[in-house]
Amino acid sequence: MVKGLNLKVTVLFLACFAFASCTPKPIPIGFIGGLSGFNADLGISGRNGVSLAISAINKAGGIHGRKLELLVRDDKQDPEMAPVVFQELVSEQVVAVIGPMTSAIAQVLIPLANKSQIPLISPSASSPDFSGLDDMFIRLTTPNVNESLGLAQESFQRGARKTCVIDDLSNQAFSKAIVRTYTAELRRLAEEKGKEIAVVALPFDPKDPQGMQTILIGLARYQPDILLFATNSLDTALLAQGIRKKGFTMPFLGTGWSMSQTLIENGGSAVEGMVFTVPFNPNSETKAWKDFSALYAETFGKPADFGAHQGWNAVQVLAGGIAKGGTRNIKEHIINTQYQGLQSSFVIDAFGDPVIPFQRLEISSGKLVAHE
Amino acid sequence: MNRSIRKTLIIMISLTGLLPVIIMSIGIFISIQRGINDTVIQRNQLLAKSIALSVEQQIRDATTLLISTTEHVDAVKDAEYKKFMEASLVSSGVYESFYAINEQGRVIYSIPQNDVFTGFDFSQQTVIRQVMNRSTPAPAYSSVFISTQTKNPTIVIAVHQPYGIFAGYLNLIWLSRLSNSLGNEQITSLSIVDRYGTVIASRDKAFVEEQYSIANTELFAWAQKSGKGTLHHRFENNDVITSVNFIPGPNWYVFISEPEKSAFRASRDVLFIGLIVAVFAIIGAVLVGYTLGWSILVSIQLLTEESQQVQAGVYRDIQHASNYAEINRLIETFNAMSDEVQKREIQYEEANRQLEHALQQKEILLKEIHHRVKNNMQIVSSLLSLQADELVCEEDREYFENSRLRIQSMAMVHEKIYQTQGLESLPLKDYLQDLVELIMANNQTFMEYAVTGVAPIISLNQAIPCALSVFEACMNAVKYGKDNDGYVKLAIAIQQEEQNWVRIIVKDSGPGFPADFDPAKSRSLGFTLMLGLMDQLKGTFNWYTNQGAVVEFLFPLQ
Repeated sequence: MVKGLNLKVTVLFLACFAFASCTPKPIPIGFIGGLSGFNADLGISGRNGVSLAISAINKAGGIHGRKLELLVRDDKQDPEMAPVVFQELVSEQVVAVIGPMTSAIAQVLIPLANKSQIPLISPSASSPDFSGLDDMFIRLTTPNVNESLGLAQESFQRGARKTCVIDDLSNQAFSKAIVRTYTAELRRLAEEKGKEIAVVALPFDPKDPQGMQTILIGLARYQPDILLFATNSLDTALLAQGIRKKGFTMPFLGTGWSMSQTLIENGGSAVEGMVFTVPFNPNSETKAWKDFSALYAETFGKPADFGAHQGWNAVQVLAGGIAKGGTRNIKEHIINTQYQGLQSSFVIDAFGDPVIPFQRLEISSGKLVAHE
Repeated sequence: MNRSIRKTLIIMISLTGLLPVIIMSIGIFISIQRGINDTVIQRNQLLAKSIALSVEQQIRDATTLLISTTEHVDAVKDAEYKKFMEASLVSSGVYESFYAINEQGRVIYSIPQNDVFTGFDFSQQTVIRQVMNRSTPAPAYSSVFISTQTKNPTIVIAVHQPYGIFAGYLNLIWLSRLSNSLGNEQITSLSIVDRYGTVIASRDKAFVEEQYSIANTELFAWAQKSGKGTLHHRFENNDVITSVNFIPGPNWYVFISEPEKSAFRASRDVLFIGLIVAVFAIIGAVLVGYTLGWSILVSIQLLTEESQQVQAGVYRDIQHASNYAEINRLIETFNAMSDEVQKREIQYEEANRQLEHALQQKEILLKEIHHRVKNNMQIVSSLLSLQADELVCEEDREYFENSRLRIQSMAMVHEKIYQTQGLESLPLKDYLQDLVELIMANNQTFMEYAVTGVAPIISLNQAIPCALSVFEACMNAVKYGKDNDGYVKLAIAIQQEEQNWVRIIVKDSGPGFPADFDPAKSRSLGFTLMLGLMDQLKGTFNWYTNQGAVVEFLFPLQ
């Protein structure tokens, strides 16, 4: 059933992106992301960004005359499903896999990628556990350590003494790393100033109907003076609304995972003032980003977000590697190279980690605004 | 060009019998195919239109229900209407949830979540912003999204009423149920996509859950341009026909897709049946043609064999009854012809026998004539010899002797003639040898001779002039061709020239012709005869000295 489903998925994408039957043979590229179930927004955005990028490359004639063929698989954000769909793509002889979109799935797939020697290029997996390793894993977003450091500094500068982090149990590879590094950095900063600071992680299960209530009880108990959401956009929005409704007025901090139009639309005034330290700005003024945003909105009927941005960039990195050295040793041709992204240039280092400048963004009047 | 009757019959039967049937069948097939294809396309278009109307009506009904239910409700004050609205909108199963929102975009209450969302700020939601700016209750429709609660595609319908904003979450699972309810699920598929090309209803739930987009496909571009109709396109390496119908309001598109091979299966079935019938018809035609041809060929084979027998002189009546009157008439005619040929052959044999008999008689007679001519000439020769004996003058005797030899040489011609088979010609070389021996026997001269060259056959008409000519030349040689020892060495060469001419060279070993020799002045009878005889043979006569006297005769053989 799953196999049949995936076949149809592939066929639909072939119909979307393949032009008339062409020679020479197209280069098969896999995509793995969470396209259904909870937290599917990021996967769907990533897939949309990837598909637009591949469509653009193919319309421009492909890479050295060869077009790209996208094979899409849904990992359902299930660590047991991910290896199955990865093996399907391996049997389809893909030259590289773009994905997964989350660290939890990346943790499962990296050993398989190393074993099969197929580059695994994640647009958005940000766990620091994957940094500094000479393996087949390449990613387009910096380890969330950097993000956590920025959020910790933001918290400390605002004079926080008791902070809480809402820890999403459905994406522990991401949220645990956020909690860990955020806490460590905050404590380090406090120690530097000879102060004390408390950080409390509030576990949140998005599948639990009582999840919000649990968070509210925790907040009422700890009364934090700043709150960090390590949750997806819709959950962040609804939690923020619920928290504000209960009369809590503490500042909110968010991560790149939640920073999207969905958050703003569903969070309303509750998410006003929420701050992010991210390598991505949905209101970037670069021409490339504006063109991409317009195309994305025209194609999918919604604004381009972080996932779409990362998906596009991931394809550019992969295409650059293939253009440079063909379909063999792609990883060697990707690393230690500078790329021009939609919003800024970035470097993929020898370990396949990106070096990207971070920005501080704040939701102001229903928009994300960049602040120094 | 040799043609097989069997093949010709097959072709004739095929052309006369099958061709009209095949042409008619093709015409019928094309008509049926067009009819089926048009019917299938019309069916799918009708289906797409019906579904589009149904969906449009459902959305309109839901919108109307929302508008009519809320038009007199004060979102802030009339909280007692909650139960009424819950019963009308949610419990009825039309809406998944319902929100009453104030002018600032904050939720006053929600159904069925009770107070969970109360106080939530929805002012940033696109669909709420749209109606907040409106003064009329014109509905606004959100994009289709997957509900986190139900995991189903959902659309928000919002209206701005005089006393508040009301938004209903419409669960669109019934769209997928609509897809699933379509029969022939392995063949015909129903999909509904939103204005951006994102699949919101499909038999395959994954397409909906994963928000797949067909925005970049030829199909969607065509659908946006056309609004309705049917497109033939490629999908999954198959030819597919897809009928589309636009749904105004939410601006969706209904697609009814079906692989051409299944959609037009009936056409293929008709073609298949037609082909099977055609194959059987052709096989039948071949068999009929073969059978008919076989029957005729047996008769023709028999006639051929009997004709060969007639050629070999065997005459038999053909006892064969064919199914065809023409063949039977041919056999009767053949038998009559065979009888007639046999009769004529008998007659010819009899005539031949008579002719052969007459010919034999004639040959005997001719031989007898030649024999008698020869005998008569011998008698004349003997008489001349007797007469010569009485002559005193040597010169006269020589004249007589020469004349006698001339007669002898002519008699030899007749002797040679009746000794040969044909009675019309004789071998020239043999004759000349006999002639020279005759001359030798009648002259007291030491001489030797040689007759060389080819051995042509010469006709009776030419034999005597030729014989007399050579005789005269030989006599000249005997008379004047002696060498110093009184010896005559005579050489006669016969040469075959082009165009059946023959050259006879008579050469002696004597001193040759005198330098002032002129046959005209010499009044020689021999040269006079040779000139006259060569004229008679339409030939030439030449003489010269070449280590002896040489006389050449050149004339055409008849």
